[in-house]
Amino acid sequence: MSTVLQHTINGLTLGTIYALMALGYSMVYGVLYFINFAHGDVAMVGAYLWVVVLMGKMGLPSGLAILLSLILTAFIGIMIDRIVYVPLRRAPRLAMIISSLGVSMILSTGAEVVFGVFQQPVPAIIPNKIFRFGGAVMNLHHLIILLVSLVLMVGLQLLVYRTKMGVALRAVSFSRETAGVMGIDTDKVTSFAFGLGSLLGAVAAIMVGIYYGSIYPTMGATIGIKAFTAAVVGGIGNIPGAMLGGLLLGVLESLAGAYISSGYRNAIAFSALVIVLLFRPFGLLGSTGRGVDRA
Amino acid sequence: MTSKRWQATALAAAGLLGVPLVVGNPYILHVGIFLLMYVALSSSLNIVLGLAGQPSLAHATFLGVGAYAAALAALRLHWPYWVNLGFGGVTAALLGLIVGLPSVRVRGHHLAIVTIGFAQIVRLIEINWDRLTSGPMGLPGIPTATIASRPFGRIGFYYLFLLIAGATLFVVNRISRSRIGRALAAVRDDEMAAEALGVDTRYYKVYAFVISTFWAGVCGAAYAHYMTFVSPDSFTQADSTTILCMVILGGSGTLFGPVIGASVLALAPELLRFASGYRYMLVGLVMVVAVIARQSGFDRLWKRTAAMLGRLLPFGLRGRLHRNG
Amino acid sequence: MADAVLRAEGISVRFGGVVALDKVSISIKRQTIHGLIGPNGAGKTTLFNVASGFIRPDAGDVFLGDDRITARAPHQRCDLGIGRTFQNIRLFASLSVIDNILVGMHCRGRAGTLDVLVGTRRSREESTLARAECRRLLELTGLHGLEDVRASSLPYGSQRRVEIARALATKPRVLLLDEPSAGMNLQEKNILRDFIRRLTQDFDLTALVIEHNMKLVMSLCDPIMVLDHGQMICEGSPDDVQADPRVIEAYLGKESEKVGSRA
Repeated sequence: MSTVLQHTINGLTLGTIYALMALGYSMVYGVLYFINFAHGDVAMVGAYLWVVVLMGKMGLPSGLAILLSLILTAFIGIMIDRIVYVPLRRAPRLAMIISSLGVSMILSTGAEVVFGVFQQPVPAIIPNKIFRFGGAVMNLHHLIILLVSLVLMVGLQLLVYRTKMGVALRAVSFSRETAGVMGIDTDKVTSFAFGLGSLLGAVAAIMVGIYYGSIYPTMGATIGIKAFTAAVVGGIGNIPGAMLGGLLLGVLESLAGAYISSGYRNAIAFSALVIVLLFRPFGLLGSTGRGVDRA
Repeated sequence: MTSKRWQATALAAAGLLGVPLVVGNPYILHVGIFLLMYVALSSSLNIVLGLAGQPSLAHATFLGVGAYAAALAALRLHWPYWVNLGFGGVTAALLGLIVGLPSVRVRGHHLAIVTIGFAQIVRLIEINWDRLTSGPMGLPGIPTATIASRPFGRIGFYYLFLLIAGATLFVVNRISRSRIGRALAAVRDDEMAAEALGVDTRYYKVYAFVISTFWAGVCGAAYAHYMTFVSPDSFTQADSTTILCMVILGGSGTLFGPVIGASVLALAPELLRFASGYRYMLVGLVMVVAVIARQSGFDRLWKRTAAMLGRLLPFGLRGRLHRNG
Repeated sequence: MADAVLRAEGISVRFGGVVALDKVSISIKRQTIHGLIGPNGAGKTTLFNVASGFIRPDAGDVFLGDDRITARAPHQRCDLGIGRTFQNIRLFASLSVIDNILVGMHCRGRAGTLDVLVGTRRSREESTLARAECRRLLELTGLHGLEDVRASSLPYGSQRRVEIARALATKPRVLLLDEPSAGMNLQEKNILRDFIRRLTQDFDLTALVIEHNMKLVMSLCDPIMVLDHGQMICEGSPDDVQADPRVIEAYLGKESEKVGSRA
């Protein structure tokens, strides 16, 4: 019984990381109706900036380094949107998917070239402290990750539902044209969504680094596709959905990895993805379409 | 066919057939072989992507399935290569059937994601099902193809891949100009109207997947016998994306578009002697630039170039099945 | 019984909480041109979608002749003889005019993969015949010479004609036309009216026409059915319908007393 609890706790910790990254996908999808396949790789860049550049090369203290890398990553996300996605605003959806795949390839290969193919160890910035309860073990890492994630998610909810920018975000998500007509600067809102989404992704990637103790250039794809699954499973564009999806996926993966097979634990994620898309393409918390194809 | 076209065909055929006789350098032949393979792969993807309009981001996975099928058949069952070509094709097509089924219900980027998820699942099976695939180590020692007890060698495989590429182009050409091709284009352009006109959209979507994955599987089988080694890393998502890029870059929905795309993306890294590390970066860059450029109107310039090239050679599309998106 | 080519009985369709159609029944006789009118949102296109198979009704059945076709998929109904056009023209944008019409001939063809690859006599003959038939349809609809033009580059009126030609290519027994005269000027509308009339006579065709233009409907269709909020509120000759107070109320609300009986 205690091991189930243990795995569940691990799963929840992992899950909140997925949830944060999933929120990043949802932010962008919410304003553009497009799945940014480069999201995971931008997040990866954030983690590398933190470890290698800011802490490593420039020797900044870890807290400051984290802050700076988040800001830089947000900036990078906004720039990518400006350079690559803005010209494609009127293009068919597939074009944006393809270009984001291209950006993903550029970023991950670029990271391999610059930082090397191997895993990059992450210095332990959180002291090792163990808490026991109910027969399960929880490290200070876990706790901090869970707390930070919680704070961020609550903050996001507040932002979306209690601030002017939040109203603007929801308006653009509902109808870009109408929002524009109503005087909302849709470009600014979109950039904000990209920036915030990339920032959340970077937080997630940094947490991954702390949780596993290392990062690697292709982690964007691995974490990205799982987080992406979480977003889709929960209902993409949907904040509670992304959170639910992330947690669900984390726990499922953790339990499956422990009790079914460790090699196939990723297959759980992908199978969930395929199954959900087949039967509820709008996610668990989304709505189902009906009847006539309105295309 | 006009006599001018006959002449052009003859010239092109002679040229292609004569390459191994003229070129001594085995490295160039090797590049040529891969070029031909990518031509076949991008053309077959074109059936699903360009003609039927279904985004499939997992084509390299079917290449891999064909390769593994052939490898296993050769190693465990000692089947000869020519049987394995068919076996690889059929196995890939069966899997294509499975992937095609969701395409009936799921559209657009959702479908793209389903194909990616599927690709990852297959890859995980390749890595984890040790008993069958011997895992990440891969399967070495696949017997190469022989004719009259003599091994093919580079030259033999060149002709084999030339045959496969030619066959794929032939099939794509014939299908696209037929009743079936029109039905696929109708499904692509407007599903509802297609249904109202008697086109069984479900059947044709699956059909497109099956036909296209069959040829990918055949390529895979040939690949297995050529390289004599397969592993999960031989066929990655990046490869699928590259093949997709070849189709899009060259112009989906035209016959020669993918050929051009394959030529550019397969040859450019070789010609520029890039380190393999940069290869995918180049592909990514080309993808992004191509997509943006097309959107900005270089599109028409590109189309006209492709159409012009198509008119020079006999299999050119007479502008009837224009590309979309 | 043998008279009614297309019949729907007790069709009810619900979308979530909204009732789109409420126990609607229609019976369409051979070689007649039925009109289907009603205010926006009355359920006319929904009824078309049920008849052509894109929506499964929550209750009721559809019959083509004596066959119960309620559960049949749209492409199967095409085989059986139901053709339709759409409110927003749905041409295959990237295909040429003749290719659009050739798609219409799809269900009448038989060439399979093997035929296509090998180029059997059957496939070649079929192809030749199909093209000849398409050219005939192009002549008929006044589109000859536009064969190889890309469908999306034609003017609106011509696109409508391509759509009709395409629907005719399926050799239908019943033709469902959804607002065929939308976007046409007066002269074009008159030509269309005469054209539809001729079609029903020359081709032994039956037509059901959704229309908003009252002049066209009254001069072309008999009988006319009126839908409002998913219910059939009137069915009869043009004169009957024009005089029916429920119809007038549906279109004009209670203003009817002031405006008079012109709907």
